[in-house]
Amino acid sequence: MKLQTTLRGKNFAFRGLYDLMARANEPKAGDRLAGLAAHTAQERMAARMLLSEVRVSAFLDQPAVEASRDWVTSRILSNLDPHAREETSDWTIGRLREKILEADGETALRWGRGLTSEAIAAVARLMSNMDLVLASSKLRVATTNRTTIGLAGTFSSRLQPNHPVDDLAGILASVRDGLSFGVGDALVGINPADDTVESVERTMNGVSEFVHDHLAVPTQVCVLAHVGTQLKALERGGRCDVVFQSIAGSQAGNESFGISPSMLSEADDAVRAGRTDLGEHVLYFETGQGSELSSDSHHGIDQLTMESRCHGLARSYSPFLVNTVVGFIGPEYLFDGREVIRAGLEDHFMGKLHGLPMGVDVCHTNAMDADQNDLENLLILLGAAGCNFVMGVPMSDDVMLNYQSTSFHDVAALRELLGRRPAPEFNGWMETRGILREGRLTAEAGDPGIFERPLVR
Amino acid sequence: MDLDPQPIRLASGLSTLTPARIDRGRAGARPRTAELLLFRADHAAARDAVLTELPEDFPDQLGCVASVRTCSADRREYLLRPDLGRRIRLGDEQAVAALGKGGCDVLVVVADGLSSAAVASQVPILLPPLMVSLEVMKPGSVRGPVFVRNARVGAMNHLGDLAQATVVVMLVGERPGLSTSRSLSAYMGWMPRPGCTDAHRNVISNIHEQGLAVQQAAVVVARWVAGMFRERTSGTHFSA
Repeated sequence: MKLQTTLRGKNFAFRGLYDLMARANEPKAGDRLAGLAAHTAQERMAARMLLSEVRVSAFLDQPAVEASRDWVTSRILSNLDPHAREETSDWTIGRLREKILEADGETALRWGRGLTSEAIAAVARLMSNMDLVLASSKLRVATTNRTTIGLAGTFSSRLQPNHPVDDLAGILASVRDGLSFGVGDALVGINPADDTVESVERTMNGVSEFVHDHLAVPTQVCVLAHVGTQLKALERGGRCDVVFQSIAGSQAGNESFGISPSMLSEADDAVRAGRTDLGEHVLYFETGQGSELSSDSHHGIDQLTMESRCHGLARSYSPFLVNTVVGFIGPEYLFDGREVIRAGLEDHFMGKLHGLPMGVDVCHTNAMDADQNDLENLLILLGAAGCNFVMGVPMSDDVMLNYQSTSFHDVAALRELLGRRPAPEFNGWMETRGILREGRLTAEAGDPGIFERPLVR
Repeated sequence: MDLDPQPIRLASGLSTLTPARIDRGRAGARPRTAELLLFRADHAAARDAVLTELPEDFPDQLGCVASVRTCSADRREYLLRPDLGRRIRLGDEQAVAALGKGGCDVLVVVADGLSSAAVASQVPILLPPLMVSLEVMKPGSVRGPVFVRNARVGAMNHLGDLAQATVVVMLVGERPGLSTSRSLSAYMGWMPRPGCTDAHRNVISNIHEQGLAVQQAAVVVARWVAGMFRERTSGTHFSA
């Protein structure tokens, strides 16, 4: 492997494959904080040129963290499709970029099944923003629980009705508002303020009764507590359709989240037990660049590569939803709107090439140099890229997590802009409720009071 | 199926159930103009709280006995390098050490953190009753207040070490949300020294006009400090 080059008369040398990888990245605050980023724009391009000549097989031989000390690596390697691996292993990363851009979506997804997370992270950094959007738009990944999301022509959303003290009436008020905009076909998912089993069970059941029993909405309910807490709530009679967990790209990172591979398998089994109404997929994972560095479990590897390894881990469980929470982490990892937009497009592309049902929490905190215009820009780009789902938060303002994401209005606007529909089952429900007619919001849409009134035949 | 052609638009009353911005109407698929402007005004307040530095004379007006800086040169570096915001700059170390001469049971610290607006609005009201309560508790051995510019919570460790303080109380501006940009936290720790983490500390957060009232916060903080001296510990395992 060539680690040294001359660019416009200047010499550049790199210490190894992952030094090359880190320095080839688009600028990110987290890589600078970790001391891994390129020092100059030309060093970045020198690294990228050398990386374009590295073979895919180099990443099979040299994962970012050794398999012997990291179960994320061993799960990534053991899940590779051997035929697809053979097909791609001799290509350079530069050739891989071109092959993906030339191919149809099904072919690219087949290759993806044979690529390690590190190779996927490598090709992502050779791609421009439009490369990422165009390549992603071909990669359709549909998953089924009670609704099917990710189908061509659809754009779905998670309704995120958080409340600062988990007050059920307050949560349900936001649920009504979101549903009236047609938000929530991917999930009604509540981040709990109180992570105790009793409180999580109360929210699970209160929201399930309203969404499933009272309104008969074809969707999924989930309370985003720690997986262990959700399993205990399920044992006590809690109701949910999907189990959630944040995951990391290294074993050490996952240990800092308090999870093991078997816990995730148990969660998959537990939510299915005794259920005949659920489709094939029941798990919901969240990821996001920078989380490994923040828990000092990044092993000196750049944040894009660690994020891709999260996707490799997620792939080994066939989840219903994967969501990269792109701008929650703070300005020391993603400093401004430009870095957030880039990271959102990269994560979505890498997830899709892994074959994952990728969504994005298009978001920022107030410490970050970003505003609602940056989020709207990224949302439109992700819509064009065929992103499966985004968040729907009342007027973008999450009053429990104290950050801004995409709004109910944003979801409706993106569907109008790009001519997209909600998931088919949910689309039918919206039409029955009189919220949607021929793909357009009706006069009643956006009024949370409509669910108190009977339907008139 | 035919739908009611003229739905009566009821005032849903739902918005009283949550601080979330629900039932705000729409203009096509976009927010109403007034709601959009209100939202952006709240964000503007939050951004100004993060980026605005407290004036040079703020520590004097507050009656601080010392004013020091961390290794962060400015707000941009402060946001990008949390590690630098946890260390007092070399030239200021002596000033903090001098505060601890003759013993220091409690060191009171005022830090801008992520919201100068929180510090400017809450600390001038919170500080006087807090200093009185602490002085009653540990007469002659309460030091400060010392003001620290561009500081993270973790600066408590370096400050505690420099002043050899038994307990450090740090009043610090929280990362602003949209509902308020003026929320303050009080972090407290028993023997904070290099290597201590959040697990060694206790925190009273959400101190602002719509949260925990400032006057009440002074009482609560003093009670926690008294508890730390009684039990000779602090942290997540400890409750006052």
